[in-house]
Amino acid sequence: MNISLPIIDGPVATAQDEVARISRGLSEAFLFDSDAGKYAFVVQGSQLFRTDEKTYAMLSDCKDDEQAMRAALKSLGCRLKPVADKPVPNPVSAISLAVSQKCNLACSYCYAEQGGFGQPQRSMSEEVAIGAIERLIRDVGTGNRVNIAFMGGEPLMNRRVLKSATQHAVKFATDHHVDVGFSITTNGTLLTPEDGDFFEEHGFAVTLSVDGLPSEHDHARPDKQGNGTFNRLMDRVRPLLRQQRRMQVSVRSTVTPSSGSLVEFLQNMIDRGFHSVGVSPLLSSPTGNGEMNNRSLKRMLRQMIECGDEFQRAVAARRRYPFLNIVNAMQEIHRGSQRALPCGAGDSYVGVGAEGDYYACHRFVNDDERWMGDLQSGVSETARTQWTSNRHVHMQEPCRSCWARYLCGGGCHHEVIHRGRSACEFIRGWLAYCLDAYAKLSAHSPWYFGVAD
Amino acid sequence: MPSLQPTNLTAQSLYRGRGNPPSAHPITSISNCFPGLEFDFRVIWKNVFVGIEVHEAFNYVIDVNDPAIAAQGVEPAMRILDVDGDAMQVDVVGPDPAGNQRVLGDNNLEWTNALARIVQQHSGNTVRCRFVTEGAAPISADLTIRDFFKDGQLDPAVIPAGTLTQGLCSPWQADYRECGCYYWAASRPDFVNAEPDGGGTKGHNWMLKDRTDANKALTDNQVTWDRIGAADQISYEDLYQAWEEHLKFIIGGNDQS
Repeated sequence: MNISLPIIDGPVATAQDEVARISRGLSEAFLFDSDAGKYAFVVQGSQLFRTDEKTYAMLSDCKDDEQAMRAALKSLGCRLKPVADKPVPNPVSAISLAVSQKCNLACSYCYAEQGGFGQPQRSMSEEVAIGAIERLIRDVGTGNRVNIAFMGGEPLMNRRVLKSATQHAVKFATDHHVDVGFSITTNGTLLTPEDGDFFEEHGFAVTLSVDGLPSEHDHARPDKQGNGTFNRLMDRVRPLLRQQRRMQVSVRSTVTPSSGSLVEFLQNMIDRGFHSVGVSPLLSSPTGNGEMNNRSLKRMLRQMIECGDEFQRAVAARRRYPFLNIVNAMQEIHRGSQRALPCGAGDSYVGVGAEGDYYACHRFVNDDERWMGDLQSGVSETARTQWTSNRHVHMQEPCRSCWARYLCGGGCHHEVIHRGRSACEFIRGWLAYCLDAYAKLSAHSPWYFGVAD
Repeated sequence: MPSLQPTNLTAQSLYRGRGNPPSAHPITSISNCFPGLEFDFRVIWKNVFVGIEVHEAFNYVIDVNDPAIAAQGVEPAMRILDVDGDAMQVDVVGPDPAGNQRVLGDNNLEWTNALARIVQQHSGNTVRCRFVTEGAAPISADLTIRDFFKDGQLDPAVIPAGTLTQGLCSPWQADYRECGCYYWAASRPDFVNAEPDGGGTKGHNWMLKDRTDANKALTDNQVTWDRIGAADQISYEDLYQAWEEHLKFIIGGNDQS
């Protein structure tokens, strides 16, 4: 398939181009011609159909007319499944605890501005952490599951509270018949073998921030003295990589215009024994440092497709290639996920700041406009309802008429609020690639989706 | 002829194949699983215990195929009281005519709910069950739960294709026996030809074959659900063959001959 190439090499789309393109009936179905056949992705219900030549031609004729497209799809037996304008409220089942609003590194693009979120550095008290955990578990109710994420800053700078809060959560959840899962996002430079024991005991999902191979990482993520941190964190994480059974140790990498080869980076991390690797472009930083522009996004898309191709080769050979972006995309497309929101932020998930205030997510800590209550009165239902209603993809432009709206959900709230939708072409290009990959995998390797060959 | 071939799960679940009626999807169907107008899950439950056949209605044992189970005292016509400690029937409590709360009788639970934990936790394993015959003390027996799910779907090796729909040739006729007046889309009497009789009322259960005056009885003796399947009642076959002849038209609560 050639979908990615015009996007990568063609001229940068202007806002007018965008409006012209989306008004061509593409808001109901996205048609693509793959090596595995001709396909129609029906937006309402995120349904993927293989078509014959005649049907493809018939649907192509409707591209300029949404009404005609809907009628054609219905006449073919396709049932459109609209997303309600009003989001269905979900109970809060996940929190992040900014246990340490300080950090030992000095990454120039950090959304948390070295941990303090633009304010003096501080640590969360045990009382606040436990209060937030108890409220979460009590409110979610018997028989349900909660997730507790330790974030920062660098959460291991407040190891004592991290550990006592975890132990308390286990006991409190058991008493209330609630399942609990834990995760931590760390820069890895403070990890100890004892931390590994603790994370293994409690089945933590451990995510390390690694921004490229040694020289790139050292440039992007120096310590306060300006020294590189790659070797330090790899030395520290090595015992955990050997130890992971219940815990999973993964990598999340922020891509900036100066990042190097993704395919090499991925292989390097996989060879070191990381459970999985995900990448994400830097779209918004407080200083503007390292933000991706159109050119660098096109380059990144080309590199992600290179990794995606490697993933497809690996699946064909029944070999594991844990490139999270495509692994997750395959599952979402297979299930036909339909998102009214891009993530759980402000809905089923809220961030807790060091002082015990709730925010829409971990990135909005100390952001008064995204404040959602405090420990004393709990998460404000009014704030949550208002947030999810306003952030609904039907309320967003140009999302409302984009074919990818229910796969994307409108993009990361934090990035969109601070920078606008600067990566739509990148996201659509990646999703188009993933749809094509799904079409091929489901035809040639159905076993990957649990279907007999 | 143009066509679509559903590829991912939402496409598979929402697409209506050429020739299929609108009710082919759970989302557009009546979705009544007792017995179900689109599929009849009771046929799965029939064999949920290895070695015996059971019917979901009234927790009823139809047949015992395994001598080892018969040796434990399980016999046809027994009712299942509980499985691995989970009750399969409950007391129904409500107000009597004087307004006092009391036990009005017992009712069997729907197995999709009542057996959910058992199937999830014990498929393929043996569990202790209790059975009862009216008027006798309950007996205990160890039975194996048939493992009929595989990867979250019915295992075709255990439940062959067509099983779920094999009993659906005439679902609405069957429903004359399956449903009471409280669970019927249109007017459907339980008790007909009623007339005052002393302090009570006598009449006929609508399912009675013999609805002559001599066969009238008090409500409690005839409408009780336990009598379903009795020889003096209209059978499924009767309904399939000649429902209108047996049921007759009921006008003003009385048979019109």
